[in-house]
Amino acid sequence: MSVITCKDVTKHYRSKKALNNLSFTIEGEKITGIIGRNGAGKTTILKILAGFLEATSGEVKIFDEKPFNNIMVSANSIYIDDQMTLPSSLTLAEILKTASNFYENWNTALADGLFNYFSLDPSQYHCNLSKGMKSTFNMILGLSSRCQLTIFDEPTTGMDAAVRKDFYRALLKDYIAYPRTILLSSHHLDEVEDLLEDVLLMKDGQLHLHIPISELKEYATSVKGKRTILEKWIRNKEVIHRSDLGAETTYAVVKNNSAVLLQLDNARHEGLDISPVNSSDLCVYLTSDTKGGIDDVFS
Amino acid sequence: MSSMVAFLNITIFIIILFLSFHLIKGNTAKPRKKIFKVKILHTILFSYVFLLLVGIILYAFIPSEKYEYMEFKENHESYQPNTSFDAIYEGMIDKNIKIGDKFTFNYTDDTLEVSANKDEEFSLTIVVEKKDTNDEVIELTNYLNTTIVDNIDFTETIPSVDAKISGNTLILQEPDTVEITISKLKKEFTISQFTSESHMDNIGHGFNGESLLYIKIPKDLELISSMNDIYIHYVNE
Amino acid sequence: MFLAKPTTVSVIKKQYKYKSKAYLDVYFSLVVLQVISILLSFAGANSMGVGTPTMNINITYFSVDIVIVFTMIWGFITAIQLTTKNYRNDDFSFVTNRVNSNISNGLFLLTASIIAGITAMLSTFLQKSVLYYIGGTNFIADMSLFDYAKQIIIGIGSGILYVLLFCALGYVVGTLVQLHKSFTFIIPASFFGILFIIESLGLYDLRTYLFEFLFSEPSFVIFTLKILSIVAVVFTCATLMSNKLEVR
Repeated sequence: MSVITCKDVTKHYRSKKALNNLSFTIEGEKITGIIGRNGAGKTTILKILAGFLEATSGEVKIFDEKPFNNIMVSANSIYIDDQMTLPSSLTLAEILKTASNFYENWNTALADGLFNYFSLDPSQYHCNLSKGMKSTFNMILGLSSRCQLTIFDEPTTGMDAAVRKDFYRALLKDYIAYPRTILLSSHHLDEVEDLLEDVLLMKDGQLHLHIPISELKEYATSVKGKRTILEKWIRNKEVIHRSDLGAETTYAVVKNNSAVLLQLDNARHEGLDISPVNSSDLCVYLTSDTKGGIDDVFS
Repeated sequence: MSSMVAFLNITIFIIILFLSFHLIKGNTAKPRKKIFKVKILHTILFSYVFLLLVGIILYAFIPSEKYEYMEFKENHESYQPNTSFDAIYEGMIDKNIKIGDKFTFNYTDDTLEVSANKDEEFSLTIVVEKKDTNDEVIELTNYLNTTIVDNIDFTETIPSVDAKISGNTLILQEPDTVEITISKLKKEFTISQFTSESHMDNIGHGFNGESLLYIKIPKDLELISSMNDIYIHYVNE
Repeated sequence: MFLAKPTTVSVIKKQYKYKSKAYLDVYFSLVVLQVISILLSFAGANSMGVGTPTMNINITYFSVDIVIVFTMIWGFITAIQLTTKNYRNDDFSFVTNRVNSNISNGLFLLTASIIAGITAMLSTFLQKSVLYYIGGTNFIADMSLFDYAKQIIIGIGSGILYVLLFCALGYVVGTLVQLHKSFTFIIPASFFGILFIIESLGLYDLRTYLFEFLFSEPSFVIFTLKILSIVAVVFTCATLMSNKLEVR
């Protein structure tokens, strides 16, 4: 049984198309990163998976059931983001207690441990927390509920670097202790890439790539060198990104395939600088509308 | 119909509140700010409930002795307003009519002047009955018209006319106006809707709380009025 | 893979339990509103004066009608409040679906109506006690004070039903507004429109009938049935309408 199945999912907001025939399947217990630019439809698809929104067309199945208006899916999934509203009349301690009542897999020890570690005040109210504290608390909620489908949409908003690091560590440890399907959308792919097993790259409401992170790391190669030589070399190759660094030098990212890999030595020989592409950068290049990025505006 | 108007007013009020509520609150996802800590909230709620309970206990100790005004409810069915009072003009006096102060004077002269000592005015009705005999006795009786306002019988509170004889003059003194202020418990509409004796609500409002001075004079006595606006009604004339 | 399989009843129970605790704020506004209206009620509901040449009678009537009316308005507004985005989103931070969310809201509003109806009616004793002990007011009643206290039971019953009715109306109005913002204007406009049509066509019988259908129903049992059926219909409509409503 696959945890998530999406088939031709389309979502309209009034006239705007947020998702356009998005199809993918996630099977088994793994951490998948949802990566994409602002407005790529990450939040929309995650909310559809959580049952908050209903797809305009297409088929969405979580644990073989439609998530919209489904208590089974609701009980086995949790969606955490920085917009999360929690009852303003309950203290943080009471919210945790309420959540433990709702989620059967709730781990009180973990919740209390994290709560104390991040030195949150149990008598504090959620609406009075700072942005980072809110995100920290939401994260505790997300982890402790131990839902089969745990969705973190930009969970680190407002957190400082130390807390972010702690969070990723906590996420990984708890995932190992209690494996489940985790979806993690983040702007900082470089921070989370060590956690991820799969990457789901979205662009304009469509699926761009859905591959294991290891494959993403070997997905492309960057080439830097004299423009004339480089241009000759990249001919007939799939160029993902190209930008001029100086008067003479050009930087290009080329999609790897067997032909490219064979010609790497040859390129080095011609004085081109060959290096692997940072996956975070690669994602930016892959999802950019133009080959040259922001530079195109100025050329 | 007045309750209907009230209801419409309420509804309009609600809609105004509703609109303003939405203007203030909007439908934005702004987080609500916490005003009170739960403890303070609990304290407020429990204090209020406590206050209400104290109210019940105190209420139980309000002495429930009958008010000085008689309740009217029991006999109102048999009561025929005004007719019994009208009969007085014919000289027939219903036994049920309440009687106020009574005066009896011995008088031997043939004429008697009637006057009022209060600003030379007298607004009450005087009915005079000439007796069959010359017994030299003048009998004055204050008859009190049944006065019921909202089920409370005020008949016995109606003040009587005072009278005295000085020489050949019968001096009538109109009583001072009695002021009565009453607090009445009204059933809430949630109760009266199911227990209301709606016909009772309208009864009593039109009853005039007047007294009538009935004078029985010897057969041959002549009354002379010294005031213009005094009207003396003679029975059987 | 372990999957929790909650039943609808268990989810509703949990939601209800959570709401009873989280929505405690609404009782604060209830207390404030009732205290204000009790203060207003000290002025007397209305008074009547009758004058004759010999006697002036002035009767001031005391009741807590105004407290009950304010409580009904409170029910209306509270119900609207529950339908707003914030409250709905709160539900979905935990386990629920739309039907369960609506049912638990209904149960919460029922509880709130019961509490509000009881406190509104009981405020009559507080009012009378204050008037008697502090204001030195003597009361006359058509019945003994004890008989009046017995009738309070009926008052509480119908008070609860009236508050519940206004909760249901508020709930459906709030739901409509959530479906589309334009209802904020359409609802008052159509309300006044219908009133205007009734007035201009001279349909006074209809108006009287509509009014008397509830407010003049003399049988408590029939009144209860009428209110409960209206509430059930209105609530079902609200639930059906909001079943496709998206959250967050």
